[in-house]
Amino acid sequence: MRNILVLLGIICFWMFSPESYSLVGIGAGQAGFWAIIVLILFSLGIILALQVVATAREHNQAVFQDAGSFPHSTWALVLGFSALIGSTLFASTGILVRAGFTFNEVFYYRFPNFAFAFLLLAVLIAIHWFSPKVYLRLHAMFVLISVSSLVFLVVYGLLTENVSAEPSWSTGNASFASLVPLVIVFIGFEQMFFANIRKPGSSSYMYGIVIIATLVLAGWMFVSLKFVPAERLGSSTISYMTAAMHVMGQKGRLIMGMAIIAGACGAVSGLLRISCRYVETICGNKISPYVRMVAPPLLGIIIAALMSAGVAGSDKLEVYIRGSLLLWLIYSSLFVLAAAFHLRDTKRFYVITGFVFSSVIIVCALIMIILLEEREILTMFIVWSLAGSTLCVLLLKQMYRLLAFLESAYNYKEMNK
Amino acid sequence: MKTIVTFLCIAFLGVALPVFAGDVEIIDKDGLKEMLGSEDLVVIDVRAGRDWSSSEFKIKGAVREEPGKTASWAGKYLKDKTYVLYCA
Repeated sequence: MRNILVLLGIICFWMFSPESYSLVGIGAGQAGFWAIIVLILFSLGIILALQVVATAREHNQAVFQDAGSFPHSTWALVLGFSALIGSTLFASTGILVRAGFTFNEVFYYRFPNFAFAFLLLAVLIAIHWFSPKVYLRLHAMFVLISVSSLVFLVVYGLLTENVSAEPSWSTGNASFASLVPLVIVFIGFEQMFFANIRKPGSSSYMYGIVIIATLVLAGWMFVSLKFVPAERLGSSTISYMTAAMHVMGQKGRLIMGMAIIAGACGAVSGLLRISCRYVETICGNKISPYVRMVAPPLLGIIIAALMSAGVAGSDKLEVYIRGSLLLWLIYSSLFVLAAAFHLRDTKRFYVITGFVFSSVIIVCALIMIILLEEREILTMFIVWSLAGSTLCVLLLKQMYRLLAFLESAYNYKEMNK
Repeated sequence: MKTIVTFLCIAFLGVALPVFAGDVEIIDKDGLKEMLGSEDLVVIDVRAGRDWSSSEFKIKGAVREEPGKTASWAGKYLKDKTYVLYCA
């Protein structure tokens, strides 16, 4: 049971984050029932993709065990670095600010929203210094609180009649622009393979968790459409709060507030964990203990600097978040493609599945880039992100040499005392 | 010597100029609540990015303007009205 909860935390930290709640709410509002159908289709595609990677791992235990083992080329490490670190820095900034506003406006308006965001960041950095066992359980607890709150609202909404207004189930505006972004809800699915859960049958648990999580989100979309006019839902920047208010009034706001803050904790701690683990892999085992100590506070300082600099108040933050997440989507799709390619001599079905899945995801990413108004800013961001990541990856790969040099210099000094 | 004098002049101006700037009153929510509904009042929401999109509280009738580009939109408002700028 404990392992399942830890797996839940690892798989679903992004699916039950404030970003996903916002995406599904807006998607439901803009595309109506089509959004629910597309969400379920994306989840089925993810499960097929997971099966491809799981089969590749069974076929050869040496590959796909570690972030650095896929693939071994520097360009893949650069893509992964820019995706993960970019998402951690920018998405965390946005998520923490959202949590700060939620606390201030739902729970205690005298506590400044940014102060809460900084406090939350400090706590989430601190828990990374706990043992992995304790950390994973705290992380699972955050995600579980978010999921439970949402499930409560879904069940209440399904069992209650909407007496206030006639629901409008569809706006007639279903389009690529409203449906394609839903794939972002499943970002990070490839990370579940690095969960190091060794219990037999883990793959079945993974698929089960993805299915249940998708059904919960689909249920939330259904309940949101049942209680809130689709047009209002689709144009709201806080669709989750609007829907919660309509479902259960002030109590609904409080429950959704809990879901948002717990979801923010789960998302930010999950992003930090993934990024630190990725950097550890690039640096090598010898440096891992130092990376584990230094990376979380270093990332935390950068996030704090971004918040202090007022990046949250800039429209460019949304572009940076979207850019980082799109790079992550492309990285994930190439991950699946590499697994399928690895199976090319033995299981042709997985080759085809992997190719189709990767193509669909890359097409979705390209559609999102083309439809974004700030395409120029996005392009410059991706170029700079990849350039900066190249430098960082090359430096990190040499870290062990620097450490060896420092160690030998220290030993030399000791010998000559 | 010239550099020191230039630096001192700039520092003096930096300190002194705000003294000559008009006083901008800060108003709390209760004060604004009393004024809402007045025809002379214009609430300008200058929040941007997540500061605006994350907030549940958007004042009805408020006009959104970009915070860093005051010069581009200030001219379109009449001087005889009361303006309240709402920020994060």
